[in-house]
Amino acid sequence: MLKLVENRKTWVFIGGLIFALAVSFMGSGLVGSAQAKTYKQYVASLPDGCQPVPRECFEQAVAGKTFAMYDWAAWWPEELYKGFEKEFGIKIVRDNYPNLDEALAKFRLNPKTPYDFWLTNPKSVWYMKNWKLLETVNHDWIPNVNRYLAGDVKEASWDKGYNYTVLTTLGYDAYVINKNFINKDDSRIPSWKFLFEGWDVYKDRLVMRNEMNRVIGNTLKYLGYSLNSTNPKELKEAEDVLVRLKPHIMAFNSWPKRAVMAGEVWIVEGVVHDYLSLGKLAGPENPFVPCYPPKGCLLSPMLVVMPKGGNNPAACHLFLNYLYRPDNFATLINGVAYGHGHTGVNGLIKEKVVKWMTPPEAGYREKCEVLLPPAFTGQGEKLRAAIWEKLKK
Amino acid sequence: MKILNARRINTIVSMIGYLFVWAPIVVLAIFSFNASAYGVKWESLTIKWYVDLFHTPEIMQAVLRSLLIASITTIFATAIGTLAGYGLYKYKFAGRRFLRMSVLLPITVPYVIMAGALLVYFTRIVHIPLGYPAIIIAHISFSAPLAVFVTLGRMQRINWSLEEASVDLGANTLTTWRKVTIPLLLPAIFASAVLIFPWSFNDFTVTYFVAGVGTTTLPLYLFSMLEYSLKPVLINAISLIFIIMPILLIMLIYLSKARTKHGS
Repeated sequence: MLKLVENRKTWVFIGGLIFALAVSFMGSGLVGSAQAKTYKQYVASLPDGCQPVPRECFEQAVAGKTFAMYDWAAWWPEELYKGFEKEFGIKIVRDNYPNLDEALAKFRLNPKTPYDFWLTNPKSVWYMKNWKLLETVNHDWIPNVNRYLAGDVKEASWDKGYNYTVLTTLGYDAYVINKNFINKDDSRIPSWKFLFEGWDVYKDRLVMRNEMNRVIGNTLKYLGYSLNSTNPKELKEAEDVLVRLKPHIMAFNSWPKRAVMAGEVWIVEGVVHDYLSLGKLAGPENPFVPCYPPKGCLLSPMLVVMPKGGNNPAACHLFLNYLYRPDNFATLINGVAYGHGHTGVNGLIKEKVVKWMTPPEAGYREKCEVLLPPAFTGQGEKLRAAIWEKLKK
Repeated sequence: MKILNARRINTIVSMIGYLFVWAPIVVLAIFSFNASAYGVKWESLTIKWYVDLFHTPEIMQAVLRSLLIASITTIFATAIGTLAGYGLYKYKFAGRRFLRMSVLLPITVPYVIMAGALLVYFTRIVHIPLGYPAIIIAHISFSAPLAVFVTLGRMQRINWSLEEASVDLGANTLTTWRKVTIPLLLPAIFASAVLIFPWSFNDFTVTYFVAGVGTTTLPLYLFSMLEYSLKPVLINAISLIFIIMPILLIMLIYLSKARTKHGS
């Protein structure tokens, strides 16, 4: 080994490898974009019912050359990004975060973090707004969003008037059962009663999300209270429910998909769409049944925001307008099988995706709530943290 | 009889040790060829995850970024650490003992604290752009101490009269360094590099905080992928490649050495 180390050829070999690596890396960055459209061609090519961004937005976006996105890896269909790059000649540079709290910490520590687009949740939006780190949305630059975004979403509690955010997907945080182990025709299903009263049919086969606000929020919902309650009496009741349920809980785990697929977990609390998309892998014998409790549940919207540090906000508007074209939005929903607030896309969702998604009945969204500051700040946060600590002991 | 029993026990304990270390790797290797995307039950033999891997540009770019960062870090951290180790051993000065202990600091401080501190340092104090420069400097700062300690360990076993002999025979400082000191330190340099490369390649916490636009490394990509990807088994395929790569590298070097010997 010593001789090997002393051999000059060894070092030449390793040096050569590093050089080859650097060259191939630089090569990968040199991939040019295809011939982009001019504004005139862009306007002419739009499908019926779609409107272009104003010329000013288009020109600023194209002049910026790159568009920096910060989102989840391996979630949205790649063709959305590729299509945008091809159509506008703007290079998308994507980075990914492991979770939204860590991404928020990054913006807090470095307010100039230069992303033009961040896919995030209402909690982060609230903090970012308070820290004055968000650009406002220019509604004149997103005509397709204005046209197709559902009216109730435009006035949603997380951002009335969608001044800072544009909704992409909407997850229902309820529960999912595996019908191979639990009778889906059980009369207690889909009520919260089935999940929170702890039944022997799933003893030690229940997994709940490892996020205190979500778990306690849904418990409050089961009790008929607001999931943003800060009333100590209501929260004490929620604590009692969870303490009674504890012997049935196998784990608090935010990533239990492997165990769900293996049939080790029979009932799981979380965003139902995440498990329904597992149905794609399960094939025609999809065993996962979504349960939307009639009392409503926690809503998990994924929102696009524009951090202040971004260099090309025009590209973000251009992308949002592109995304809200019904054909492109259908590509997104067909890929992720999530809920949404787009009013012009329903006819374009593939039948099998609709089947996987098994959306809740019309009007269900109104019964649901989003986590708001009272739950994750001040007294609300303190009370929840104390409950969570007891549960985790 | 007693010796035989002791030998047997040693063998069994060693085998259990090896099994403990290698079993997860073997399972990972086998399941990377499993057709099941979640890898929970054996379905059938397939190489489709490897094909998918090479057809997923985001992963390949993340791999290239990680390799590049780890390579540059290894070169600089090894050089800096070796020189620091040499200086700490050879030269006597006030505070040497303290300095020797303080070298440990970047390894012992919790990574998340170091990451936050580095981010603030880069963005608000020295204004180093986040991205490759920041990542590489950060990696060097926490991996160079490894080289210091490897070098110090090696230097205690070196016969330094060889260096003195070289000077006595008329070689200047540079020649002595090139012809005597560096060859004596080579095993330590190589060992440091072998330690630092995976240390840098694997890093998640520090990299996450100091990464800039377009610098998502493989660990960052994999963590993000866990949330929504429907192909988590791809991680098995990537891991196997990175386990096999160093083994192949060592084999290639041995082959090259054998050829050289055969030729001469």
